[in-house]
Amino acid sequence: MLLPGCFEEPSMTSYIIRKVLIAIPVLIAVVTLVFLGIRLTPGDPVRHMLPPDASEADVTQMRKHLGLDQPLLQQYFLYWKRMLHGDLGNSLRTRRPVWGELASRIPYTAELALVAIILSALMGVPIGVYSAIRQNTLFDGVMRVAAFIGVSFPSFWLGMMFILLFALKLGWLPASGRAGPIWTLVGFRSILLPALTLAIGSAGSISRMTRSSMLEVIRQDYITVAKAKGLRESRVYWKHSLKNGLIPVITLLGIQFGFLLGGAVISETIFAWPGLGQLAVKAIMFRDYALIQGVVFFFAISIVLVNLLIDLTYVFIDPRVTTS
Amino acid sequence: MTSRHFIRKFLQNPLAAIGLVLIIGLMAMALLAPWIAPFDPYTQSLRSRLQPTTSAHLLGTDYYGRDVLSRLIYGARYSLSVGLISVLIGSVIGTTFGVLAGYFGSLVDRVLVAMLDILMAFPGMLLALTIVGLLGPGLFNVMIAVGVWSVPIFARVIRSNTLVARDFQFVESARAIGCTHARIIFKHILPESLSSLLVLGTLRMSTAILTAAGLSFLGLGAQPPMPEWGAILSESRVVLRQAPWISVYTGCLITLTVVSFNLVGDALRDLLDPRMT
Amino acid sequence: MKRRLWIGITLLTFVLAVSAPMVWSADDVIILGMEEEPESFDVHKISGGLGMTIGHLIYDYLIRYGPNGERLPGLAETWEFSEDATTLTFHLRAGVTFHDGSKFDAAAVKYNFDRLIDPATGSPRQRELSNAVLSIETPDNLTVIFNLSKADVAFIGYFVGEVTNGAIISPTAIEKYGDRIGSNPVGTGPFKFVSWELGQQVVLERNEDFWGGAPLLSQIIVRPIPDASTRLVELETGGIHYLHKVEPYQMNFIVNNPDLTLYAKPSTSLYGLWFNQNREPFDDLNVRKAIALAIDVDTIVEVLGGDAVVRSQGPVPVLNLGHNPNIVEPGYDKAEAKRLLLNSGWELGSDGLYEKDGQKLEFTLLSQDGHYIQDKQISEAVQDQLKKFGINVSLRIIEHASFNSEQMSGNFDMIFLGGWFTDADPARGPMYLYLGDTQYNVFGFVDEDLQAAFATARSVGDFEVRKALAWEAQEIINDAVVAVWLYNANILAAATSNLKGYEHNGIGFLRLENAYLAD
Repeated sequence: MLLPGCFEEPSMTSYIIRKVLIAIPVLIAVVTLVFLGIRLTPGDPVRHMLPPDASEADVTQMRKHLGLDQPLLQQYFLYWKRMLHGDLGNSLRTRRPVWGELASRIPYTAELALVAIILSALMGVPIGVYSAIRQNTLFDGVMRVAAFIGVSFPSFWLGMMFILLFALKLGWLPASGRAGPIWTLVGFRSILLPALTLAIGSAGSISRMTRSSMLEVIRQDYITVAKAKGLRESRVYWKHSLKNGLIPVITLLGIQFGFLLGGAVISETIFAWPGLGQLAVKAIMFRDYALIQGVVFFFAISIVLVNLLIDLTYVFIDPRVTTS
Repeated sequence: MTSRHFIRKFLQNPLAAIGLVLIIGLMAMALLAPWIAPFDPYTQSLRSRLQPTTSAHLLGTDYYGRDVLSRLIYGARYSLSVGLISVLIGSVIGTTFGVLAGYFGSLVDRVLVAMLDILMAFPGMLLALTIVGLLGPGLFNVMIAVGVWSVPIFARVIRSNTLVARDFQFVESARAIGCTHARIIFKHILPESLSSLLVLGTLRMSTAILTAAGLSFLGLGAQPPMPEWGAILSESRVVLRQAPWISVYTGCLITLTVVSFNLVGDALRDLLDPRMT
Repeated sequence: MKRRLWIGITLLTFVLAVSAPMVWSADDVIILGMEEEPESFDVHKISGGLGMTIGHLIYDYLIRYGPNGERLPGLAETWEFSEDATTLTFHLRAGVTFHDGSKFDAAAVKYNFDRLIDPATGSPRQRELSNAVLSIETPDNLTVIFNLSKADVAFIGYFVGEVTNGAIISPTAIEKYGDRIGSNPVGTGPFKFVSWELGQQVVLERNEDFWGGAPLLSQIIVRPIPDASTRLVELETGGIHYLHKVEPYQMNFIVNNPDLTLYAKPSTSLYGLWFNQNREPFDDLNVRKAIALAIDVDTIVEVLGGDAVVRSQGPVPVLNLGHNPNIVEPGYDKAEAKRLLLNSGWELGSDGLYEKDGQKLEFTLLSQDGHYIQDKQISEAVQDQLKKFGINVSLRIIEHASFNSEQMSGNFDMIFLGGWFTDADPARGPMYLYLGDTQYNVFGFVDEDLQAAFATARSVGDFEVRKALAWEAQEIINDAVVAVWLYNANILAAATSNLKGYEHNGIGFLRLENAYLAD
């Protein structure tokens, strides 16, 4: 197996550079699309911001203040200029800076997504690997069914059932809300149900993917070679297969991250988790342009960054990828 | 492989067969709703609300005294058609993009791939949310939103199929004898992608149905009193403790539908295109 | 390795199960569960909502409400009208300080009301106030004089907490925070604002120097929990001590649970479906009356509202001092409804819907989801009944802030609206919905006799005379079928049974200065 940095080094750097360069126009395009989309749909956000008996003069003045009376192109440049200074405008509804609203909630959604990913990996990967090893046994069969169903559940329903069971009937976990940072016992317990609700769908995908990926790897020749060398069976599997089997799984984790961010919207609503998902839904319902843009922009950045990270991680696991 | 061979192999897989039967059953339920549903799904009966199973109402009544069974049966119409139409939108647009990108390559390809990357930057639910947020709530807008979200996936797959097919011998010869691009695409390129389309379409149905239900659950999709499954689940949540059976039945039904599409989709994939994930 | 994994899992489960007691809090800290987050604590700018409700713990008013709606001294010890009712003088309480240490005095009161009157502030009551108040004088530190533009005995209602905007905010704080006062409230109330973590909680702490005596609770934590069933679960499992809004179908669970107490009080609130008479066909009395007759309001209210509400009787809440007991609402009579429509030229088409001159009889009902008791559900039931009768109703269900602006700009056909008519004075309360010179009359209903009655009532001092005029006004409004009246809401709240000293009231505000948690 090629070690990173052995040779091919120039193309590794150029690979990284290439990936980063592509990410930028993607971001720009995303922000532009949203900017356009919102501005061009019907509905007048200015009226929502002013008291009901505002005069026409008030409306015009507010429009001017927000820069909404200028041609589209100018608004666009103004928006970029402000954004690069860290000013994402003010939420139309609460009049607080968008950046503030986002910043206060980002950590909580990140927390939730992180715990959910860990949970789903913890559930999915071992099950997937074990199923692959014990292919076609009862365990395998049962787990495959479970994983399959796990992906098919509506997560909102699952959340409701969890609350009924774990919070109400058994009283083990709190029904909603974030009780504190996750390194405290109370906080940790309060994140479990929302994260679990998010994680289950993901775990199903991950276990299936891990299983099929492992199966492919197991069939490969060098495993036979290693076996011939006499290594103990478990070490053969875990050490050699895992590393190669994990590559597609890492991709999947990256994709799941996006899926989790989306699922967080529902999870956060059911469990009153103070994150971005909740904010996003409210912003959309209220047509809070500034906030919608902010949220979308943030999501786009995080997805692009995560994808970038994943692409970069590949380089270290298998530099062959740089030449493809 | 020939169609007959294919069908036989498919049906030999017990899970696939079950899935197929379920799908046919659900579609039949949707189509035959006016004849098999015991009640009109909209008729309220305020004095007989939230009743569990009775002889008249096999699955009980809901918040307004409407028959749950009838609403679920009619709900199949909405939920299935949302899935179908959004997958259609996604597949048609996605295939177009994919074929154009793969066939013509170079600039067209680069531009399209870039656009696809942008779309894929969004988590599905959020993309759908944003589109619905722009267009406004409603089942039709949900169809558009979920359809648009499916475009990149179709485009990607069809594009790679096209890239492969483009280099086939008979395509080169077709070009040599002067076939138009359109003819080549429709006669030679597209048929290569049919199996992928079938697999992907089936698998996407399940996600489409789930996502649409989720949007309705948040109040952005089907509006009251439409008996779409996600909307029914959202209504039942309010009375989860007094009438848990409504959410249980609805949740099970949604899961069953999704499972059956996944079963069939998986089986199709195993048969036709095992390398596709 | 496998064994270690299993041991680990067992240990984890054990630890989780053992730490079952959910809430670890001192017994002088309570947690309130609200249905949403407060929008802002700048009470001069907001229109009802939780910013007001929780704001009542932080701010005071010149006059406060007693548990039965009586007027008690607040920040003002006494007050009186001049003979001709054009001047209102307040004598303020001495020795009161704001939470930031600045003094409460006449200048502070004037500052607050100047801010309310200033159009730049954007207060919802601005127009009303600036029309009514000519000037405010402060002859000395503890006296404030309001010079009114016309005699209006009922104007006193504006100063009474706690449903109006006239809370007293610290001028020093307003100068310091400007627009951000909404997230940094400073008042004179029993509890001080400590912090607000967006989306998570608002923390208040005891004001040791509160003029009414320091409260017993040391801390109040306010948590927004949007989902109604989750809220109830939290109450049952000890995640919160107090639940602000109980849904009618939740009442049974609370009543049957010995660890919980249900608080219910009838209120002076009124909810109904108002017509916008500026829009056809609601300018036609026959149509309005027919629609009222075609809806079985009794059943809808009884079944969906249950014990959470009391069936209304006319345009004034039953408990209001000026309520006319002789009012009879239109009732439920589909045959009569049909007759009225035919009279106006509407006929049943082949599709079962009424039409006239090629136009169908249909409209949109503007409503909300959970802001008022069973608003969405009642709207759906009404939609269903009218559809069966032959009128197509589309529902437009939006969230509160948008709803407010649609209401105020008159952008609706029919609207599910409700309000607090805490002012017990018969000449105010619900009446001012129909006055021409306030921003509330978005219904397009103008009646000369009514205006005359109001004008007289406001300038007359004698309560009985005002009451008689109010009764007459109600007859006029009811006969004109300005709305389909639905119910007066009971104010419901629930708390763990160890909460004592909580004053529940029919006006909906939160009184916690004497509250404590018993063991």
